[in-house]
Amino acid sequence: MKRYKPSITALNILIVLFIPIFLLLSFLTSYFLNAYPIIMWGIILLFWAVYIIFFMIFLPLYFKNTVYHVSKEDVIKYSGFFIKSQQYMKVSSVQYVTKLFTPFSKYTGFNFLKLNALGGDIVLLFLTKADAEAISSVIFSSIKNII
Amino acid sequence: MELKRQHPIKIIDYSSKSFWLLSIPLIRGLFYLQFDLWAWIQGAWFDIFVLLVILIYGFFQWYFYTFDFDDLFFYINKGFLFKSKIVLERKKITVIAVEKNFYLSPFRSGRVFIDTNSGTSHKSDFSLVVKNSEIRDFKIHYGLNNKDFPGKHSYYPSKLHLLYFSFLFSNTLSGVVFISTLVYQGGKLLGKELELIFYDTFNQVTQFFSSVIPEAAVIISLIIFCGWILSVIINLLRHWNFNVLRSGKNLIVNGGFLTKRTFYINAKKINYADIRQSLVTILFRLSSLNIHCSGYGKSKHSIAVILPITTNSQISNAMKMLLPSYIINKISINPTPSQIRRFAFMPFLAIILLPVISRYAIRYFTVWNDIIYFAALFAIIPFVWLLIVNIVCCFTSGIGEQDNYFTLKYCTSFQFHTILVHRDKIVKVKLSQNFFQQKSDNCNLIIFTTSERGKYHTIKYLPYKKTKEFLINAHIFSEQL
Repeated sequence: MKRYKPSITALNILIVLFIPIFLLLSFLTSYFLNAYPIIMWGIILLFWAVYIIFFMIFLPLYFKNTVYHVSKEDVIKYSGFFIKSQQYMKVSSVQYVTKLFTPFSKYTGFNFLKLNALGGDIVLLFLTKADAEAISSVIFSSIKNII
Repeated sequence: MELKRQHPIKIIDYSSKSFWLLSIPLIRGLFYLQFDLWAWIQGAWFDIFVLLVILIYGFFQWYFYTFDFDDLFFYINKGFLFKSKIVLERKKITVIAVEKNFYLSPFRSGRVFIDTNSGTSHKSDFSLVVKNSEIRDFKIHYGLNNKDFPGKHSYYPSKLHLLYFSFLFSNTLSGVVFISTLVYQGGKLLGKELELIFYDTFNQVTQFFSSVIPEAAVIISLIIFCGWILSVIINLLRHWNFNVLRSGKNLIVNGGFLTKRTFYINAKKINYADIRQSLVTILFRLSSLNIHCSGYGKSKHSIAVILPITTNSQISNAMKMLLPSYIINKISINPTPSQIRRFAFMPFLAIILLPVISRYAIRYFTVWNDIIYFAALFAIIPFVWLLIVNIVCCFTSGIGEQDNYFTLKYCTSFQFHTILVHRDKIVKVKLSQNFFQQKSDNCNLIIFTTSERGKYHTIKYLPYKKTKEFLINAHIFSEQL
């Protein structure tokens, strides 16, 4: 059974990518709510509190705790921090695989796999391109042998 | 391949609901004009034109929809602008249903529904309106006639059991929706008089009781009561003459009073069996047996029941005949009694908070104090019931395994479920722990079973280490967790 982790590059890109978005939101808030300074500052602080909690605390913990174990028989996903979950799916249950590769995903780590079974699915998030290809080929070869 | 067409009555079906909304007022207009055709056409020529267009569109849809079947496949060709051809492998079929509606009987036709594990989850994959002679040919071809079922085992519930079943498992909401649709659409088709008669009668009954109980409370109670009664009647008519037979790989379910339905279920395609009980039926040692299979219990108002309410011993005996491979195993992992506080927490919190919230609401909305008091009183009753159900659930829920069959026991809202599922029908397993569960070493076990839409079963507050050991020993997964 091989072990895979989400790409740290993807986490760093997410952290950096949303800074200008939150800056823009802060600017728009200060522009439109200038007449109400208390409300304006309250909303701006709220935006940055959400950013810090989600992007600086939650997301790094999520990436740290998420592990995928893939073999010819099973796929296991460990994830979560406040609510930990372990998901198990037999490869023989997989009906089809959806691969999502975004532009420049070889460098960004924004590669996603969704393993679909009849009644459930497992989503593997933020894989490197090599990992995504390796996982999908293991599953395809197992499915072929089963058929 | 000789392509067949559906019965011509299907043209009306294809003509959409607008057909009735237009045609009935048009015919009413003709009556008011005392059959003066020329005056009628002069006044309503546009509506008549639209109606003809709808009928012609329906005709084209009917004409370009053909089907055929052989030993291996079922073929459907449809569409006149955008053509499509569907080939369905016979061995993928999970359920074939034959429906003889009372309004189709004069036209010597009926409906055939075919379902598989794919397609949409809220309606059958294919639905045909065909002549009775074609239904007979279809049944002969697929070996669905009575003489094709040697060595049948059958079960016939009593009418009293069917009545209890309808009382206990009727859905008030569906009854309320049905009444409101009937009144609204009836008003549109037949005129406002019908709506006014209904509302006047409703107002008279409300005023009769409003001297003792607040008027709004009477209205709500009446709506719920009427909805529930209608749902009971619909369920009773649906399951009248209910019986179930098992022969070989087929499970055949018959039932219905005005509309007679027969379901031919491929027993190998049954995903799981579900023995359902409520708190009342547990006390009287009664239960009902349902199954989960794509195509059975899909339509509105239908319940996927095999054995309506009966005694537990009769359920066991009947299961040996009808579903012999399904065994109810002993539970090997269950929540510890100390978890009772977690089961009871949420309903207990609601019972404490409701009087507090209503007291504050009465203080600020004094005009509504009667209705707030009444609503709070009535809202507490289901939460008290839920508290008792959850406490019982703590002592009855769990999971067990024997001979490749898993038994899962858990509660959803007010119902107790005993799920019997083969390991091959388990698609995914999830162990979930929130922050407090991590500290106290327990978890929720969520088992996903084969279904068209995600169907899962949650057993709460199981001991974490024992559950992991159980999953490894039960060989659900080959690798060490």
